[in-house]
Formats: sequence, C-alpha cells, structure tokens
Amino acid sequence: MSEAMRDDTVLDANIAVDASGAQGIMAPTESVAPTRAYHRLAQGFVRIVPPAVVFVLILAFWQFGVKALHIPIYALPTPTDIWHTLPTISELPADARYTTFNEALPGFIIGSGLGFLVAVIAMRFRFVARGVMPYAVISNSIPIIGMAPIAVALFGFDWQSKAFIVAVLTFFPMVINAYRGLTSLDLLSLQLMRSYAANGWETFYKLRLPSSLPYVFNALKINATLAMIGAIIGEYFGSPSVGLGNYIHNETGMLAMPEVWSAVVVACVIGISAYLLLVALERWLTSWHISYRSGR
Amino acid sequence: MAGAVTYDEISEFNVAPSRGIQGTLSRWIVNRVLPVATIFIFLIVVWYGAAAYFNWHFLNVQSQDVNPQAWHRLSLAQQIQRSLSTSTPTLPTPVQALGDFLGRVEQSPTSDTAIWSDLLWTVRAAVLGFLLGTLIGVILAVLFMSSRILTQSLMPYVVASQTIPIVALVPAIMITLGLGLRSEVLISAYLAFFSITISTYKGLQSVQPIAFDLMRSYAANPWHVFFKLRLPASLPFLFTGLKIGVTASLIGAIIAEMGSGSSRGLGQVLVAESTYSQNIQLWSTMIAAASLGLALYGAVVIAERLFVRWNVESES
Amino acid sequence: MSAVSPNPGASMPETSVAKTAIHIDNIRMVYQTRGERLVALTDINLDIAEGEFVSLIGPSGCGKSTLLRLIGDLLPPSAGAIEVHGKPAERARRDRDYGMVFQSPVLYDWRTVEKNVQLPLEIMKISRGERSARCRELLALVGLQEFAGRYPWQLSGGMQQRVSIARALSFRPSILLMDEPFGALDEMTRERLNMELLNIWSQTGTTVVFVTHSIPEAVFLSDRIVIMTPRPGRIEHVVEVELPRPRGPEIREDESFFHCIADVRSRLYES
Repeated sequence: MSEAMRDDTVLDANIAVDASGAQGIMAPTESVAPTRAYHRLAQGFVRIVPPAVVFVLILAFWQFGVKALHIPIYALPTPTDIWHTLPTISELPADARYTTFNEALPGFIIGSGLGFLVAVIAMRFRFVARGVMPYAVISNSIPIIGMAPIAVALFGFDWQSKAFIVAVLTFFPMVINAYRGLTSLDLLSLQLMRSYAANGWETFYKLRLPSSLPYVFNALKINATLAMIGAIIGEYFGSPSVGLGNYIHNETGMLAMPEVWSAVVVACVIGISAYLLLVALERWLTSWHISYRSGR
Repeated sequence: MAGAVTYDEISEFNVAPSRGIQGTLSRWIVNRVLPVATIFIFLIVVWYGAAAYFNWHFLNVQSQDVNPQAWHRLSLAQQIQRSLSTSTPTLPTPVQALGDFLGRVEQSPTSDTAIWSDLLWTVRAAVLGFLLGTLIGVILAVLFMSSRILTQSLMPYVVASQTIPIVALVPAIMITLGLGLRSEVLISAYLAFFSITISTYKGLQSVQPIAFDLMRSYAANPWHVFFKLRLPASLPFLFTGLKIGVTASLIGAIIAEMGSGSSRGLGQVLVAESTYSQNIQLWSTMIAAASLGLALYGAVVIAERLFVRWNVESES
Repeated sequence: MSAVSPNPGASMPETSVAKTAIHIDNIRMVYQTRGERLVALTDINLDIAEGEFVSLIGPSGCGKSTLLRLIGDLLPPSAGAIEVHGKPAERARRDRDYGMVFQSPVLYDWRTVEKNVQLPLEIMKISRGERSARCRELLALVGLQEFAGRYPWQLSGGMQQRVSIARALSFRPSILLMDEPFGALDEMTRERLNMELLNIWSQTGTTVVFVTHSIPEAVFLSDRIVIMTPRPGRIEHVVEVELPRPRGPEIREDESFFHCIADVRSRLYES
C-alpha cells in the first residue's frame, strides 16, 4: 500500500480513538496509560462511595430511629439485633439451600429452557409465533403468582409444586424476550447470510443466537427474581418443614422478628448474588454489546 | 442445503396478493384467528388430559380405601369420564372452573360468598398502590434527571430493590405496619415503582440535544423546557412503565394478602380455598384475578391512547 | 489501456474477447403490497463482461438497488431471467459467486474485525489455517492489519466499510455487488476509498456492479455507467467511460473527467 494510504489509516485510527474517547473510554495507547489508570480509579471511587454513604445512612437511621422511638423488638428489630441473631440460627443455611437449589433453581432452568425452546420454534414457524405470542403478551398482565396454591394442589407439598410454579412464572418472560431477540434483526444482516448461501442452522448459530443474547440475559435477570418469589410464596401454601418461606411464615406466627429479618437478609443475599452472577456472565458473553461501550 | 427454502427466504418474499375486503378478511382469519384458535384448542386438550390424569389418580387411590370393587368394575373410559366430572377434583376442567366463576359473579354483591367484595378490596389496594408507586416513580425519575450524585447514590438501590425477593419481607412489613390496607398499598407500590422510575428516567433522558438547542434559541426558561419538551417527550416511556407497573401493583396486593393474616382480598381467598382444598374455587378465583389484571392493564392502555396520540411505539 | 493491464477486457467491453459474466434478459419487477402494484423495474436488458466495472446510477426510486438484489438473487424477479456465467442467478448464489457490500457495513457486533472477515469462510467450511491466512492477506489489502483484534464499534465508519469489503472479497467471489457502499461516508473518505477500490479491483480482476448516486464516483470508477430512470425503473442510457487506466487521483483534475461528468449529468437530467 502507498504511503498516503498508511497516513489515512493512522488518521482513521485517530478518529476512532476520538469517538470512543468522547464516550468515556480511553484508547489503549501507551502514552495515556497513567491518566487512564487514574481515571479508572476515580470512576470506581465515584461509583462506590455515594451508594456506600447511603447504605451507612440507612443503617444508622434505622438503628437509632428504632431506639429513639422505642419501637419494640417484635415490631421492628434493629440492624444489630438482626446481625447478632443471624449466626445463632442453625437451620437457616439448610432452609436457604432447600429453597434455592431444590425449588427455585430447577424451576428456573425448566421454565427458562422451555421458554427459549418455544421462542426458537416460534421463530422458525410463523404459525406458532402468531398463535403463541398473543398468549405470552397477555400473560404479562396476569398475576400468575396466584397459581401458587394451584401448583401445591396439583403436585403436593414437596419441592415439585414450587418448581412448577417457578417454571410457569419464568416461562413467559423468556418466550417474549428470546423471541424478540431472535427476530429483531436488520434485513441486511439476513441478506448477507443469504448471499453466502448459508443454511438455516448457520444463520441461527452465527447470527440469530449471538444477537439474541442480550435479550435472553434480560429475561434471565427477570427470572432470577421471579424464581425466588415463586419458591417463597409456594412455601406459604404448604411445604415439608424446610425452606425460607416456610421458616419466615412460622417465625412470623411466633413474632420472632429478629429471626424473620435474618431470613429476609439471607433471601436478599441469595437474590442479589444470583443477579450479580448473571450480570457477570452477561458481561463475559456479550461484552461486545452497546451497553458496555460507555464504560459502565 | 440442497435447495431447501429457509424460513428467511419465505418471509422476505411472501408478499401476499390482495383481493379487496375479502382478501383482507381472509388474511386476518388465516394470520390472526387461526393460529390463536389452534393454540387455544391445544391448551384446552392439554388441560382436559391433565385433569383426567390427576383426578383419575386421586380417585384411584381414594377408592382403594372406600370401595375398590365398584371402581374397578368400571371400564377405563368410564373411569376417565368419572374423573372429569367429580365434584372434588384435584384439577377441575375448564368448564367447571368457568362455571364456578360465572356463578360467583352472578351472586349479588352483598352476598357473603360472592367474589365481589374481595375483588373490590384487592382493586382498591392495587389501584392505591399503583398511584403511590407512580408518584414515587415519577419523583425519583425527576430527581435522578436533575442530580447526578442522587442517581449514583440511589440507583443501585432501585435496581437492588427488584433483585431481592420482596415476598420475604411481606410478613415482616405486616407486623411492623400492622395488618390491613396500609401495608398492602405499600407493598403494592413497592413492586410498582421500579419500572415506572426506570422508564420515566429513560424518557426524560430521551430528548435529543438538538431539541434543547431549539428551546435555547427561543430563550425558553427551564420551566418551559420541562413542560413543553421533556415531559411530553417522556410520556410514551412513562406509559410503558405504567403498563408494567399496574400489573406489578396487582401482584403486590395479592402477595400482601397471601402473606398477611388479613381476612379480605383475592390473595386471602386463595389462602382459604387452598386450606380447604377447594380446587374448583381456587381456579375460579384465579380467573377473577386474571380478569382483574387484564382490566387494569386495559385501563392504562386506554389512558395511553388518550394522552399519547402521536406515538406508535405503544404497538409493541 | 496498455497490454499489461490486469484487466484486459475491462476497458474494452465491446470486444468479443471478453466473456459475459452477467446476462440480464428482459427483467421486470413488480412489488405487490396491500392493494397497490408498484412496477419497480421494466424492460431491463444488460450484459456485463467478466472483469468489467459497471455502475448503476439514477435518482431514488429508479430501482437500482432492486436490480442489484435481483442479480444477487436476494429477490426473485417477477419476469425475465438473469444468468451469471451461463447459469441462473440462484445457482450462482449457491455456488458463492457473489460478494455483497451494502451501504452500511453490517458487521456483526460480537465478532472482532478478523472474525467478521472470516465469517463467510466459516460458512463455506474453509479450514482454520486457510481462513486466517486469507484474512491476514485481505486486511493487508484494505490496510487494516493492525486492527484485526478490534471490535467494529472501535472503528470509524470508513474503516468499518473497508472491513466489509475485505469480508466480501475473502471467499474470492467472481462478482462483487456493491450497493452505495460509500454513500454514508464523508467526501474525503469516499474519494480515498474509491482509489483503494480501484487498486483492489485491478489486483483481483473481479467483475464489479456498483450502485451509486454520485456522478463523479461513477465516472471515476467505471468502465460503463448505466443511467436509470424511475416510475417505472428503466435503463435510459449506457455511457462508456473513455478515461485511461490505471486511474489515479490526478484524473479528477483532468478535463476529460469533467467532460464525462457533464455528459452523464446531461443524460440524467434529460430523462
């Protein structure tokens, strides 16, 4: 290539750097490395400190508010009450494990898996899409959680009934999101595949599947929360004497509020961990996606 | 590959010839009614199949204790027929569930067994929760729009609030705030506010910089910029949030009723019916809850049609 | 027009030496949407020789993009036939005779530059070693070898379009179909890429069908310019561009260049 061409390449590279720099990403060039490291540190600081301050403020407000207003412990325990109770409850880890791995997780996998499968079938056969999607959309405005007692009536007190209601809850968000992800492609990228005489499988594997991933993860994140909700609510309607929902239900009956709040804390930790796990997985698999370009 | 026509090829080329009104009508039937009806029939068949399966099992076990001879003298067809008509089914048939629902709807609203009083109780909790959730959501969105530090401090909690299983909190909230409408409304609002906050915030941010430049060229004051530009621009987004939020508020109300010891509302009805294994009623209450969900959603859609006439995004 | 030109048939399409690459026979294209019939193309007859560079030019709605898609078998014609190297267009597509370049680069976001260039090679089951060898070669051809590991969003629009050209050339198609590939770029980038495209074309000897609505671009690049008119889309004129090859940036200053532009413009407006 000519000398002029090289110049152009450099010029183009600079344009690209400028464009990404404007979006808050530093170009991987040696000369700006120290600034970049500093920038990163500052950014991390800005991201962590304000929420941390709020967290401390909430805890302090809670702690001293309860003390100052003389709210009895059976109405609202203080954070320190909860903190001290937490390690003394020996059955809590077992209950949390049961709810998470025996009820929420199987239901989550079955519901999300079936949802994705149906979305693929709907993508492939237009008739199925036209038949199924209206129901999936309607399901959005229906309180499906009301079916929890029905699930218990059908499958008994054990984990199967909870897995069932969780599967039903998680099915529809996955159908809707995955179908949208698999079908909302621009015409040109499909025509490109056609110009290569690519077959249906290659088009699916190389184009539709990767471009649907952000949508699929969106559904998985919604479903992680729904799974815990479904499992806990399911236990309200009968459970062998294990499970977080069952534990909370029983302890509430005895007004053992520090115990109840400890269980709530455990449930929150599980919910947030599951969410963060999915976020990490999403970042790893869809790092190319537009939402990660501005350095967020 | 071998010449097989893929889905994409069909979808790109299929430009159906039109033949006036008749063509439009037949296309509507083929493309919309037929697929939906097919899936409907499929679901009904599955339902009946499942009902026969579950009820047969129950009757089989039960009759072993009560009267094994009589049960086993029946042919399989008769056993299945009995399974589908039993008055104490594990899984009622659609006809049983719908019949029970219609029966409860027809009863006078003052009657004790009628579903109306509980329905209205839940509606009240859900609507109040929805309104409160909308208020909180919009206020948070406006705050986030105007302050970066507030966004950074509170946004993580807004997101986290949805990743924790709120239901675990229900009994604790009930104890702290007391049973009754107040806690119910609060839980309902808690579930509703998130989607409203996020979509309103997105809407307020959605205005293109060039539109602000235009307002600047008119020397418009901030008040004008908000009411003439930001607010209208964010309305379609707000309604997207409201549509998700209204269902969430209903779910919140029902969950609150389930977890509390309060004596009213659809959630409590479900608890009672579950306790007494009234499986037909369980389904008819579920039908009531589903209808309520659709009605509330429909109300928001109508409001959207009234307020957002310029936007077609609402189609999806 | 020297004897050593790598495209012997290119500047002399009229000679019988050049074999026909694309034969378009009486094409007609009608779109039917709800109650309306739109005749997009009618009476299209055109022969394009092997190694020739032909531009399709005309106002919006004249069906030039549609014609390109018909040649590439992305759409089926309502009537008429298209033959490519003596076989039907569909057969040619299945034989992977076409490299497509669209107005937007259509790079897959989740693939690096390198992986995007290799995409067609993967589909065509070409071995890994061969794939990376060809990819290196092509990225060098478009001057992007340092950017192999980058993602599309890290590149400027002009660089993205160069990747898309490299991708189109990667499986060595005999025909390059380009639909306003530089239409979205600024004038400077566009002129530079015009030059590059000519270099690539002279090195590969590919037949190029190039849709554009820029007259200077068409004149600078083409052996022949096909002028089309809308409602219904028809071929109005075919103009031979008699500028010598190889063409460099200096030809843009040449009087014959302006003359040719004026000629195409007057024919465009008279129709």
